[in-house]
Amino acid sequence: MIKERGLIELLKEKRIEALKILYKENYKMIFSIAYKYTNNKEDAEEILQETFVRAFKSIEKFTSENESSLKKWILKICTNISIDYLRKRKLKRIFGISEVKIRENHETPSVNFEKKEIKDKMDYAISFLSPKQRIAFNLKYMEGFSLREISVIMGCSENTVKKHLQRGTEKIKKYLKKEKLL
Amino acid sequence: MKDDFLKIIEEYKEMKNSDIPEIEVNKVFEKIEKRITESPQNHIGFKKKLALGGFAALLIVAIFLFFSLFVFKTEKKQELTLSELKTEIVIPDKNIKIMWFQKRGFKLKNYKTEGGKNE
Repeated sequence: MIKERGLIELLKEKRIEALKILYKENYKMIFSIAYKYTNNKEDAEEILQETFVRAFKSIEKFTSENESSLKKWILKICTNISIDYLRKRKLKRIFGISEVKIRENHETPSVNFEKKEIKDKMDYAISFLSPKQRIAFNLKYMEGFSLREISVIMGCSENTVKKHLQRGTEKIKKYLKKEKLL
Repeated sequence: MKDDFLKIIEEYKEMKNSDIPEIEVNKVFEKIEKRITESPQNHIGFKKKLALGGFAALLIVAIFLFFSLFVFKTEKKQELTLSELKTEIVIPDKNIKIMWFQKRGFKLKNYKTEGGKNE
């Protein structure tokens, strides 16, 4: 906590070394989350960059009273950028501006066919969730955050998070049932 | 049913985590640093831009109104060309002057006497 306070002070003084510390501590988490939203390395990297640029520029807005920790505040920024990204991608898909790359192949030969099928179908089902449903779903099931933490990150009430999660999981379950995976 | 779903989610999570590609950590940070240092220092936000734009528009309208109302107001009361004053009757006691002109279309009410009253 003391270390974090010192880091915030240095960031407010616009010290780039402080940003580097913050980056080294959080890049894995941010990139992993961004990659799960985008399924694309370049886009996830872009979200990662934008998150830290925005965090550095708006560090004055960070208050430990409002946000529980610097990590969650960065996650909040990452979430907002990701929501924008997902909305733009959805628009592009609707208007057919460009074909969206749903997934990339990074699987190793050891991944068996059944698992690959589950992954592909889950990716497909998740691609139909709204940006907010997808964020809530990822934070809950992939990152293991509690409802309260998700509500802080997403800047909404716990009930709203519950609603997003409920609708999101319903959509996924419906698809999985159709595909006879459930 | 619920367990099956959670099982699938667990498997999916595991696969997704093993699927995350590596990034060049330092190279990405260099890009972040570059973006921060290259972004303009006196960057104006959207709200400020909007307010400045509104103010500029208001100023332009004000200037336009000023010029149209005061500066370019060339339209003056047309001087009436009196053609052929036919007759003139003056009643000094009542301060009345009666005139009759030959020119058609002449509006008598626009002609002012020395006293300033319309005839």
